[in-house]
Amino acid sequence: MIHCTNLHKSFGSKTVLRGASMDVPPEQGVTALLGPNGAGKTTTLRILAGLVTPDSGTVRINSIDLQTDRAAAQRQLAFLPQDVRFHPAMTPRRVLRFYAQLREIADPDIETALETVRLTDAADRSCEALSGGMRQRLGLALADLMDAPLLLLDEPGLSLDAEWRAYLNKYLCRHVDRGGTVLMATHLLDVWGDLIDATLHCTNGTISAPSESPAHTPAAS
Amino acid sequence: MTPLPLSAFRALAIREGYTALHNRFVQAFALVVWASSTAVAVFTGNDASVPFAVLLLWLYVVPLFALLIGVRTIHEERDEHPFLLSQPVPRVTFIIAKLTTLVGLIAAVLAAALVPVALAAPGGGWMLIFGLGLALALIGVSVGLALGQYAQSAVRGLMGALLLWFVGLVLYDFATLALVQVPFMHDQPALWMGILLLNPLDAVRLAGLMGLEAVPFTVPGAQQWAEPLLNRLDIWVAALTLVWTTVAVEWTRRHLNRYDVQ
Repeated sequence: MIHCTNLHKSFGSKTVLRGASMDVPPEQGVTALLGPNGAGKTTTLRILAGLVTPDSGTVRINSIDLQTDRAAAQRQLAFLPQDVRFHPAMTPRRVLRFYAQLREIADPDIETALETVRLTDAADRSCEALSGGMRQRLGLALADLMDAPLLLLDEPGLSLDAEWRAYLNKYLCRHVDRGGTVLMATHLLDVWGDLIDATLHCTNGTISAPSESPAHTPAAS
Repeated sequence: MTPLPLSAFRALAIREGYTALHNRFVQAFALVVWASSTAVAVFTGNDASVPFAVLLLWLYVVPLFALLIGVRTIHEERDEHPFLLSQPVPRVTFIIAKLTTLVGLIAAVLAAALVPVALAAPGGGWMLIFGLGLALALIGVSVGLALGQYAQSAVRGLMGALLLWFVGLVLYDFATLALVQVPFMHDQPALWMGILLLNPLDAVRLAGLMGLEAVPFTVPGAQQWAEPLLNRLDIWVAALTLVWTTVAVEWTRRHLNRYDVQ
């Protein structure tokens, strides 16, 4: 699902990635990208999402070269940033409708999507007035609506309470059971530990080979 | 070149239209243009001078607001970029959708502002004025988008827009006037005029004034090669608009394609 080799990235004089490589096969389920702050986890995820262009190296998402056909590679994924934000003039209902149109999703069930993340009452409120947790839930509703095979999550659940983290946990299990792949950058190993199938360690701009961890079992979800 | 995905373009245009209605600069522009154009029609007194007054008013107002609207629309959605730009849409689509929607909105405002003015002073070359206003809007919004894309913060972008507007309106004319003092330019009046006409505001001003007066534009001592240009200033304005808009859009596209969302 993800294959990247020898990624280098600097922002000005600050080098963030120094030859990072990784392979995440589609059957791997949930992979956690671990590492201290500033190790390059967010930059790696943003490169994979097509938001940051690496100085060198190659990225393939589902065998599609991200550099040569960014839009086609992005069609394979949904990215949920750490701090989800939307245009201040938009409302959750409009946001869902907009992204559904953008992704050419036929007959999107906007009302059910809002209901699932309990945003029906806030559906016509300005996104500026939503709390961090509500924005994360809207992001989750969008990721669900997009139904992309690869989910990239940057520190998911930081703004969510225990109930919604449990919801996210179930959602990720469901995604994997349907054959999807998840790559998440996280510090919360205690929260996601049961869910994680493999880990990658990001240290000082490089990524070490995955080590096996207890396999995710659909029954556990 | 990859064709623009139409469904994505439509989704972006609808979103841009909706968010633009909440944009303070769009609201202020609609109010200022409509109120001031109506005031000009009511208080000018002489019907024949109404079109000239409207033209001069728009020369100040349209480029200023078009620049500000372009900058503002880019910075309003910066926080959403991690989500927005990870969508499977060629980035140029975002620019084209913004440009066409915003220029369409500005055109609607200008058309609405012309209605009371045209009723007050019928038959006054309104199509010419509308076309020139549209040219200013196209150049202003596309340059505003480029400026907004380059500026690190909204404040810097807006300051840049104000500076650019002031340069176009005043400083460029001072600079070209200073150029007249150069002896070589005395023998090249058409060249001097050509330099002046590279500024869209000067080109629109001259095309509007000459068009409304219905007199040919002449430059004493101008070489023969310059005559077609001077006689058809409307075509010159159309060509200049195309060049300025294309360059600004291409500049924005290149920057947006290389832009790293941090």
